[in-house]
Amino acid sequence: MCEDFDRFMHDYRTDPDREFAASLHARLAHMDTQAEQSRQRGLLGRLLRRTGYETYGSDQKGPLMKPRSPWKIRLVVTMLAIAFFVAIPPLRALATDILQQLGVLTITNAPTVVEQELATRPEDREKNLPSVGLDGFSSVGAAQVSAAAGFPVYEPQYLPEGGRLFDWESIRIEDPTPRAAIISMYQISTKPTYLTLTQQPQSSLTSDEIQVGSATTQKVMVGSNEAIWIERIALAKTGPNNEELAYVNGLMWQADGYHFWLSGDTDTSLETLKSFAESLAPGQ
Amino acid sequence: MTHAEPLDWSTVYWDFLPRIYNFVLYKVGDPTLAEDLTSTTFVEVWRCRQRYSATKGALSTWIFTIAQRVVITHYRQRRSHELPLFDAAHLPNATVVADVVEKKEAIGELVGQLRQLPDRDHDLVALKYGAQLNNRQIAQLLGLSESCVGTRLHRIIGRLRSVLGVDHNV
Repeated sequence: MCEDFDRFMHDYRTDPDREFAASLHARLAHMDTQAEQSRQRGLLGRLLRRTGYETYGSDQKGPLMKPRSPWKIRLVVTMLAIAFFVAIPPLRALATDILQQLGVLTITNAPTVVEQELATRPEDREKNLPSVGLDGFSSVGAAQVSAAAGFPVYEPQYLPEGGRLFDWESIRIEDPTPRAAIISMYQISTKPTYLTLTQQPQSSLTSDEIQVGSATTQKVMVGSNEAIWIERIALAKTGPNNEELAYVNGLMWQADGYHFWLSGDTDTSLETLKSFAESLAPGQ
Repeated sequence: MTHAEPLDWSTVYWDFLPRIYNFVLYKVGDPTLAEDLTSTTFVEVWRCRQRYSATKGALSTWIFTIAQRVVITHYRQRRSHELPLFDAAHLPNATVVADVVEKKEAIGELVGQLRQLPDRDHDLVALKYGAQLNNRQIAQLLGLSESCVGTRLHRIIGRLRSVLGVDHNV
């Protein structure tokens, strides 16, 4: 290309405002400070603080927190759910591979939150992690949970036999920018476990990476939308000393401007989750 | 910049800030919005920087891929709030920009023309003149051949010279 032919195209460039440049640099430096403090406090604590659940059980802060609902279930389900929209840097250098793409999201084999946590020294971990309990529940209406979240909750027209709504949660994540998500828990009478649906506006996704660790992935369709079936992803811990990984199966897709993550135990089939997912519609 | 040693990310920031900012500016045409999206890009870069590996590609490719995603995400979010014809006919803050400084008005006019091109061609221009990448780097980033990048840019610039009234004797 002739030297002068495109010279005018460079004339539109401009230097960023100095104040803006310095302010952004300071913000990035502040992120480093916060990250270091969070690392020192432990990964689970960091996750729970992001949801405002850290003090749950003591002062009942946060939206739609109902004293009658067992905090252990909420804590665990919340952790399972938010593990999917909180990507964290690996604790050690890893050869991370891209497994799938879903829109702008990249699904990698980087370790999940709990896989990373188990890789840390025991003395560095959060103590007294909760186990799953199954007593009692209370529900609020679709209108109430939608109002709390700021967008309509989606409800399934199909549930496996004996399935029923167990609870809804509207959670708020503050870091790095405030955003909301709805977690819907459905109990299946034939199982001591739940189907958990996390719904959040796509616009509120702040990470373009989903870490699935050792799980296997497969691209499938939910209606006319591409989805990723994820089998045996480690999102929780179990065992007497919380030294064992607990796995779930799940389906992730995006539709109508929302990002959905639907999960069940490792016996939950793709067909069950697909039927549930394809029946979702905005609540009345 | 060599990648044999750990990167000094503060230096990376100062090196890339003008290029990221101008890449975004050539994409959106609005200096204020360009600052917002530049901030979003660097926050993402900062948050994910431990995952960057020089063995998997050039640093510039990694950073500009993030910047591209940020811009795409911005338009996706905005699309649902606007009528299709609104976008090309009304530049972001065009009237405000015109009242501020001539240079800002000029970039608004340029981006107005660029938006009438296919997205990929708009990216080519933003990467070439905003980000100051060479044809080889652009080719790697967009998955095109280097000759294709050169040919398409030549055609685009020829058209822009005509519609923007750039002196043909230059």
